[in-house]
Amino acid sequence: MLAAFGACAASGELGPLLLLLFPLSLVGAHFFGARVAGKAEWAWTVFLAGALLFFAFAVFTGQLDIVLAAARFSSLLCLHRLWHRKGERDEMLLLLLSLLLLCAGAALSAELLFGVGFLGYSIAATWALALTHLRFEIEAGRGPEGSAALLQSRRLATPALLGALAALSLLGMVGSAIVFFTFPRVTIGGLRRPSTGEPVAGLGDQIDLKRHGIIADDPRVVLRVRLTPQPPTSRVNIGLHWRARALPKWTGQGWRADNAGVTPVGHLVARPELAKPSRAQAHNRLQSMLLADIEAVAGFSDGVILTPPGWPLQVEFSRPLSARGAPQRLYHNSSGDLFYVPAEVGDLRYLVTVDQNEPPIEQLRGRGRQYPASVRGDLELPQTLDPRLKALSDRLTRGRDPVDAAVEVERYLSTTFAYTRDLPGEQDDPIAFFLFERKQGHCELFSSAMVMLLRSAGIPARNVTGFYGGRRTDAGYFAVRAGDAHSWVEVYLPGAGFISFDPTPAADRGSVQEGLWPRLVLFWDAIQQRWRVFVVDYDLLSQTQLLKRAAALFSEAGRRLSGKGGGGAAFQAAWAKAIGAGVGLSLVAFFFMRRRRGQRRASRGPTLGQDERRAVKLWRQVRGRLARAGVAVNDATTPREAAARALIAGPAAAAAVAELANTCLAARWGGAALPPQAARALLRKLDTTLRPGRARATCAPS
Amino acid sequence: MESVTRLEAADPPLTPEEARRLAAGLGTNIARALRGKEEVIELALAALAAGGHLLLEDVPGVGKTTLAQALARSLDLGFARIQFTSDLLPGDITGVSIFDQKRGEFVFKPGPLFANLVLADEINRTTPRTQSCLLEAMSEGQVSVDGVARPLPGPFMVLATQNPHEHAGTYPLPESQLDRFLLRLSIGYPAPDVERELLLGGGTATELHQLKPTATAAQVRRLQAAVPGVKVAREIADYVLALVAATRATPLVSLGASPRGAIALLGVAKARALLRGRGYVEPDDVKELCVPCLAHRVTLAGRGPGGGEIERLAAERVIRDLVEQVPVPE
Repeated sequence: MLAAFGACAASGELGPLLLLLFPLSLVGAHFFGARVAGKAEWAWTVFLAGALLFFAFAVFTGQLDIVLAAARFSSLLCLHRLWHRKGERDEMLLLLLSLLLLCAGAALSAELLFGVGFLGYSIAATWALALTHLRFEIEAGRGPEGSAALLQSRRLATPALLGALAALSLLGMVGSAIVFFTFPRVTIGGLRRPSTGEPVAGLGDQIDLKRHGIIADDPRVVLRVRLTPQPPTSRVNIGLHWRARALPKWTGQGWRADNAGVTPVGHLVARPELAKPSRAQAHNRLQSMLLADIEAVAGFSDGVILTPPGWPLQVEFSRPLSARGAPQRLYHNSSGDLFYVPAEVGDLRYLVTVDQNEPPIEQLRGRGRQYPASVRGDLELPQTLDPRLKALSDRLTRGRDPVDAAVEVERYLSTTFAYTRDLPGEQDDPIAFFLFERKQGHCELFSSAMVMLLRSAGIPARNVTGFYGGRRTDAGYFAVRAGDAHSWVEVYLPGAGFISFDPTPAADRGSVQEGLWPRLVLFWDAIQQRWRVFVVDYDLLSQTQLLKRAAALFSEAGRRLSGKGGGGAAFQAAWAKAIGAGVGLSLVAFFFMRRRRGQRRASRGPTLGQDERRAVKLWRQVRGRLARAGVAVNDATTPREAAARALIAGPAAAAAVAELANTCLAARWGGAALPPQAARALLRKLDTTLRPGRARATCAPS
Repeated sequence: MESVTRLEAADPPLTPEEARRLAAGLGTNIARALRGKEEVIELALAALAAGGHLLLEDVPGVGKTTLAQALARSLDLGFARIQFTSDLLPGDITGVSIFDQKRGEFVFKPGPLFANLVLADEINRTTPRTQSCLLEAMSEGQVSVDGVARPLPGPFMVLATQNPHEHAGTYPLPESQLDRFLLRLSIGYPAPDVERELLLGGGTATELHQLKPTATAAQVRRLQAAVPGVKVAREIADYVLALVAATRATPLVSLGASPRGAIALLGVAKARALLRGRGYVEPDDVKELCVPCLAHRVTLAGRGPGGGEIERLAAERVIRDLVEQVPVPE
């Protein structure tokens, strides 16, 4: 019951009242259920009818989803049944309701937590089903007190029985998993409901520099990225800038985005050519394309497309996530930020292609100071600017080309100032305080200072937010975490567009999250990801890919073993080692188990001799034949009693059973010999005596 | 007495086949006086072989005394009958020391208890004080009079009878006393044709008096010596333990069978196996003896010990049901 509720509650949509009521009722009903059962039934009926009406009304008026309403109502039904359990029928009804709850859980959320709940449910439900049935069967035979005594004597619900039942349900699940993975299947992703989790990290459209405190690490994953070409495996952290938005407008306290002019965009423009590329350069450009397969975790990116460093050339949405079936559209604004309409369903996945080939600095020099009207906003300065800032700007940029000035300011800031995540107390002019008083700060202060220094020198520049990082995970993707939020600068150079600069010291960009908790979060995310890939989104295409990959692995292994592929000898040696280790382990396990069995036998008593074993086997066969012939025999029936009861099958049969009983008893308990042929002869004799009886029985009605 | 003990120790135990023949001869002999009750006779002989005592509980006139007398006559053993009444004193059955004027000292005059077979008729009519003086005799084979322990002759067996229908003026036997009886049997009415023969033949008194002994005291001792040699598999012992444990676990019984009960059950099962010519115990030996061996050792929930006919039948029913729930070793 708890497992089913847990699976349902994993969606996080049941509401706090039910989340609190359910466990309380479970405990309460266990202790006081007997006192309450059967009382105030009318109140419950009224309450449940009222709840049904309420939910129906809420669904009808569109305030509540029908699946959620059904889940909540079935939870209430479970609550009622929990308090009113009397007989086997109620217990079975409760199990049925818990199954309903589990189904509701599946419809509400197919996340990994549901999977854990489902696994728990399948084991617990098998226990419950078996033990409930057992209990009522015993009660039917021995009465409630007798069954309570037997059940509490722990002779029935032994760990061995529970373990066997759990193994049985797991075996069933493995069987279902094999069917799931191998039979052609269609996904039911269309029936998925949106998962409305809390936003992980708002990529806000403004920065407030006057906040104070300490930036805390947040290990939650916001992006899952797969890159083509793949970075070298030696790199644990790929350290890439993931650009989200430009924040060009100074608010007096910080920066804010320019939200005007969001329009749909068909094709993205290519990077402007600063010089005609040679044939080799054109070839290089193809090599420098980076394809990022990005999965933005639900509720996080607020409709912003994140791009890796470089000039974005193409954005493709790999999953048609609009519930109405319409394909996703791409939008951009005047700052060149890319957007989509936040989807209703789950995480968004898109492919971004960028041109990583930055123009060399020589080509960026000498592009003049003729700026178009579109970047005029990127030259705006606060009304009151600290004169020291202007002086510093002059010192750093005087006589320099804009690109050299930008490089100089970047170098100056990253080498002169120290990084700290400790935000100072509220300051009137945080940038001046950072530059001239404290001389240490965080990334937003570094980037803001650079923007102000460049703008003072008449060079258009703007603040950019996004993430810096990308931690390799076991599931094969790079994780960008909420704590990796970063801020840097883009400088406009006529003809070349905006070029990125990052004044924050390279070692301090992003966050260093390598403690136990961030690793656990990453691990959990990787498992969740695998669950989603192999279970929730596992469709015909994934199935084909998986089978193809398995086939490729097998053929590759075969090729190498036959010595055809490269490194055949090494592969064969490794293979031989693996087989050797496997055989060794199996031998150890075999001897261990044999020893254990021997110990168990020794604790049980002396082992049986050959004749004794044969007598036991013979008597089991006789018992089976007698049972089939309609003679009432059970575990508590002795051989001689069985012989007496066999009279029902005719005197000849009774005589044969008596002879068998004598022989078996003498061999089993008296140490008499029982040759196999004698046993077979006696059994044949019994068969011949039982057969006419059976024939008579079948012929009699006609 | 020492020479007797040595002689007893030197008696070689009977083989199973000899035991079967002896039992068959005794059974046939006794059956002449107590007709149609072969099963009861076999159980009585099993109790004798196991060195135990019998409690015969039945209505008057069905042959309780006849069985005891026939057994005594067939065995050529010393027989004594004590009619238990409310004024009977312990000294009346154990014996007393009387002053011998000639010798000028107290001389012990043995009571009727100093016999091989003692019929304690209507044992529940006497006071608990007198009943309890049987305790020592039954469990230890000796009586203590005036501070001197006097051994009883071997073999020694008490056959007690009681009428379950009489309550007025009776003293139900306490659990401790009941536990000392190996078996409790009820003889039951004879079958109609047997009863007709009895009517036409004028009873069994003549046959009883004509009975000749078919076994000597030495043979009985050899029979008793053979019982410990009967083979018992560990599984059979476990079966006995499971049966006894079942009487303790069931809520229908407030006081289950004691360890003495378990020992008695296995002992009488061995004796019966021997009487049937086997040197080993089978599960049937144990299962069939559960009711006569255990029913009087348990106290049903909500009822006192002993009691009347209803209690006896209820206890036997409970034991019979329990036995049908305990798996028999394969």
